[in-house]
Amino acid sequence: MNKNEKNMPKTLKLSLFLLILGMISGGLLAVVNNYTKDIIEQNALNEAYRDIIDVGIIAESIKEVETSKEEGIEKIYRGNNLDNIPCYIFVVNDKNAYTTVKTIIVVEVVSEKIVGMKVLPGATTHNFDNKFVDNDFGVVGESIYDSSKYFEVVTGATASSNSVKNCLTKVEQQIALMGGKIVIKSYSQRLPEYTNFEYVFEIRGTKVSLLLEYNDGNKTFKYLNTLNGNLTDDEISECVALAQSKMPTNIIRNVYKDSTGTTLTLVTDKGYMGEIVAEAKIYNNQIVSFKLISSKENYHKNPDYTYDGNVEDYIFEQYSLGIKNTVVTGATVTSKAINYLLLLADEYINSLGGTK
Amino acid sequence: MDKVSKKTILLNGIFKQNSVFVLTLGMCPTLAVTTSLEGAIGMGFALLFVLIFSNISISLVRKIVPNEIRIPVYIVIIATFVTIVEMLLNAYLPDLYDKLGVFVSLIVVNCIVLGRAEAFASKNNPIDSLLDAIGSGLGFVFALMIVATIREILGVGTLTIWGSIQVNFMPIFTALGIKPAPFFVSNPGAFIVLAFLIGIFQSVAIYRKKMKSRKVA
Repeated sequence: MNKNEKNMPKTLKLSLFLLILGMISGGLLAVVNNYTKDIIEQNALNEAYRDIIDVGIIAESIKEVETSKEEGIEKIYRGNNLDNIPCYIFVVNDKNAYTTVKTIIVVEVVSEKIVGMKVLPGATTHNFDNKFVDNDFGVVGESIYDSSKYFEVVTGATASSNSVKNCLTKVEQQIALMGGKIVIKSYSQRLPEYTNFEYVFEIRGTKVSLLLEYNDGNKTFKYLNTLNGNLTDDEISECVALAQSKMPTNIIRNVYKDSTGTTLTLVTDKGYMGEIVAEAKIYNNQIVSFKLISSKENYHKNPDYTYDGNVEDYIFEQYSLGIKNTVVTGATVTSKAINYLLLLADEYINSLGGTK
Repeated sequence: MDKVSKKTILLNGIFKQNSVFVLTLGMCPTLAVTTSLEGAIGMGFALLFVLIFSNISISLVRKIVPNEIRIPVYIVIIATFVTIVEMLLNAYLPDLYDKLGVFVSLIVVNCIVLGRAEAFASKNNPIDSLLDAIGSGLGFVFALMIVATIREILGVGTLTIWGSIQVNFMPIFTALGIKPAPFFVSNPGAFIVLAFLIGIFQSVAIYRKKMKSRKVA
């Protein structure tokens, strides 16, 4: 043993050995961490946002929005959907007499249309669990402000269905609360005085009247006038542009009155093959006849379609008996579109009280 | 060392000195993760990875490690490789990582790893240490797989091999007019299955020893 080794304390030698070993170990871990860090972060993100990714939002685009929230709104995110369109994602709950229903609702930022919906599994009432999977309740594609109009209740699970509907209402209120430069709060077709199609949009309390011009399937909004308050030219232009993105899918194209009653020409974009035009005759506050006058529907070619006749005749027959929202097997989309037209005719009757 | 000895080193860990059925080491993960075959395979190969690299590393530094700090040194080396396994599982097999939970980290204090380090790797060359690690690790994997197979089939009626690859044994149960017993996937069930397997293993070992001594005689 030499002089140096005798002088060096043993504990120092041992500590030095452990220190060097620790540094080598740390270096090795740093190298592995470098390769795995990003993957682990992405996995954690995907796990946290799994339900949101399921409704078609790109994981990397999701950012939480910090803002004051209405009751029932748990979280608000902003992210892009698969078409790269910015959307708001709302995680919202509603408590009913039996349970609490939690839903994820995705609304496009500009158009304010519902583009995705998912009821989270778990606390839902009996008969509901099997029926909410992939169920859009008839509202996906509609404006958030029209959601209650098109909402389809799940048979045998009314309480949970109503909770989902309440979630949509809460999201509507939250969007109004969040505001924006111009937010269209609601719109309605002015019935029955106008045979052309004047729509009223309410923007932060100011009501603006826009005319819907319909030419061979092309629909455009044109500014008519401001009903209360004042808007600048820029605000009017922005309003028309925003209204254009909220084009109604179901409209009354024509109202014709004569001694036999009122004939409505109804149009919807929601057919399986595109546009469906129908005529509904109203007499004594009731729809007395309903027929399609233009449609490319091809449900007859569907092998599941077993009804011997036109689907609109059957649905109208059920409607006349008080059974609404009938769906015919093998012609589901067409059935829903026809129901929307009957609903529109009902709205006309309710707004006017009918005609003789 | 000659070839036979190397073969002996390898096979010892799998049968004669199986860490679970003979040495009764690593009981904690054996009982905890064997509710499904997938978990057993995951845990087994995670431990095998740690055993191989820690044995080789310890064997390489065996002549320079001061005797006074050999245990802390072994633990640092083992902990490093356990952390590497954790990071790799978390990145590439996150579902398995969630399933194994805290038991991946507990490999650090698994008696098998420290035991082989102290008993073999610290006294033998890297090649032999590698063979010992492979043998002990594979013995652990097979032991876990046997326990998990029995527990999952009897307890649930299915066998989850990996991910969505699952074998359904319910038709056999139905044909026999019986149902799976959830008891086997509970903690007491784990102990009982393990006890039976240890008993069978030891009985076979004793029987083979007797036969061998009769032959010699």
